Amino acid sequence: VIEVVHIVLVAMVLSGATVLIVGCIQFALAGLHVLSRPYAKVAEIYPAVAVIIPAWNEAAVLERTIDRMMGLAYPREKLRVYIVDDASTDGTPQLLARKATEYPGAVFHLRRDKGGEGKAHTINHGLRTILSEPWAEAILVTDADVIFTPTALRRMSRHLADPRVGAVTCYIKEGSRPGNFMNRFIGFEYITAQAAARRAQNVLDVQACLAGGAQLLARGALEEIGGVIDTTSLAEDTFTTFNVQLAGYRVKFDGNAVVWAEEPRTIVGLWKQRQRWSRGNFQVTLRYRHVWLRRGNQGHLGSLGFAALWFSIVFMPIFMAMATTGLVTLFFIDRPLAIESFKALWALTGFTYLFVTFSSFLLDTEMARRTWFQGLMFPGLINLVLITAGLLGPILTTHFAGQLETVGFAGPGLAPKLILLAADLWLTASMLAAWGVKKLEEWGRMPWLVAPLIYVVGYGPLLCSITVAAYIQELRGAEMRWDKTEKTGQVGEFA
Amino acid sequence: VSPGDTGLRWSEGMSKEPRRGGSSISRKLAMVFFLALLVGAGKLFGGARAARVLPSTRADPSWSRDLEKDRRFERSLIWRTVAVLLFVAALTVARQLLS
Repeated sequence: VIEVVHIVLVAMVLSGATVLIVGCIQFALAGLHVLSRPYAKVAEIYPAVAVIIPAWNEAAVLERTIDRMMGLAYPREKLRVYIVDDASTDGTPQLLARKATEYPGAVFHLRRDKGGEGKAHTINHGLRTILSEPWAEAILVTDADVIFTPTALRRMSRHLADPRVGAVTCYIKEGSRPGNFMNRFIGFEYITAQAAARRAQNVLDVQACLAGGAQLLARGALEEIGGVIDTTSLAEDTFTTFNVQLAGYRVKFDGNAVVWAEEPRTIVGLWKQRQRWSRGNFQVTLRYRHVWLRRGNQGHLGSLGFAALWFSIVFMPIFMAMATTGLVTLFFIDRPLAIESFKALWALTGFTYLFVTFSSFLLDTEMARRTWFQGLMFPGLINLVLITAGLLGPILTTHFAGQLETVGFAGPGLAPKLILLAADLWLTASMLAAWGVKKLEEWGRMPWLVAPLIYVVGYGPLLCSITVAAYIQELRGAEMRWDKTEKTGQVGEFA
Repeated sequence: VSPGDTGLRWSEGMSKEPRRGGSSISRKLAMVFFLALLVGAGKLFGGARAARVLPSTRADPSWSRDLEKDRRFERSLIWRTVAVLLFVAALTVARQLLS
């Protein structure tokens, strides 16, 4: 029985590396993306595309977005832009009236007099108008701040040559200029979460989410799912993605079609945005419970591979808590095994960290030049010390055992035990620390301290912390509010 | 059957069977690996050929250039991944040698 308990505890400890191991698998699959023949069925087609841009008080960003849209490498007669103005109170209506005159027959202003119901309702208002006419063959849903690179749309639309493809999404890059530390963390995160993860999902022939800022839907697929998008959740884009695939269509990601978007500059802004996403994922997980790990007509949504990708993210905080529980329990019942498990966890974390980080750098060298420091610091300074200990531990204990004992990091004293216990607790404590940094930012007295503390605590733990907060909100049945991310329009200087 | 007899027969069996079975498994694994390599290479180059003969209207030459560029990039991801794998593997070996 004791052996079984030990095995279970060690397994719990190693579960702490689950997210990174799945990350490694994603990068390995992304490397094999070409084997899935991503361009085997593309063709030079230009379907009539109706672009929907939901907008609420977006005067600061809309003009540039519309101009960029009209300058795309796409036949002008095949492109119409519908801005759905969600009862804006700034200069948005005036701006749109001017733009409609500037681009007659191409830019349309759809006004909702009663606003504030959320993005999904606003998009559906536009969809009803567009689908009431036969003109549109495909619908592009995007955001007011998203800047399309000139060839992004035609790179996306080429996939619709395959009638089995119902939707296409692209690589959204963080484009705030001048970006701060938070923008650069997000920029690096998007290499892993989009460029790598979505290529891996292409290989598995399933997509988790059409990026809300760039989703191209074939008209047929959209009509088959009812011609509207879900309004009962905070993840309307993920619901659309699942529904399109459940209707028997494929969803594709094109990592070479690039758009730029402005992302939050503060922890509070990131917290609001990601809490919405995490609550949405929680809702998706429950709503599609009949799909997980089931074979049938769900395409590959029910596959084991997709479940592994999805649940490694959804259960990320639980894995962290399990690892901490395992380490601390072992610390009290079997110290040598606790030390060995600790070393194994952090060595495993170390190797997977190196693989994921350097793969990201090579996957998007342009973004890596801008975000390499945030990429290296992604786990946080304290976690990096633990990773180093895991990687170099055997070398240190072989060659420097005496010195480590002299400075108090090894040997029979109390200090080594306390250091080990603190390190064991850190996986979970780091989430609490990240929440503390958010509170510090909200307090507003020491803004200069926020960035250094995030480098110490880590951006990864911050994301875990937000996920926990989102689940608590969801379990409490908190109100579903669409907290809009503030935009300044300073985006895409490099686009 | 005495316990001694059972032990003797068991040990005789063990001295031969695993070695024969082991080498057979190795051969099978090598064959599977070789076939996987062949299939992989076939898919890689087959995919490239299929994309090259697209029924495109070629209305805009830059469209084809983009496609060629994108295909080249996706192919390059293989060696990029292998490069990182080799780097991490080298670190692992160095760690083992130094400890």
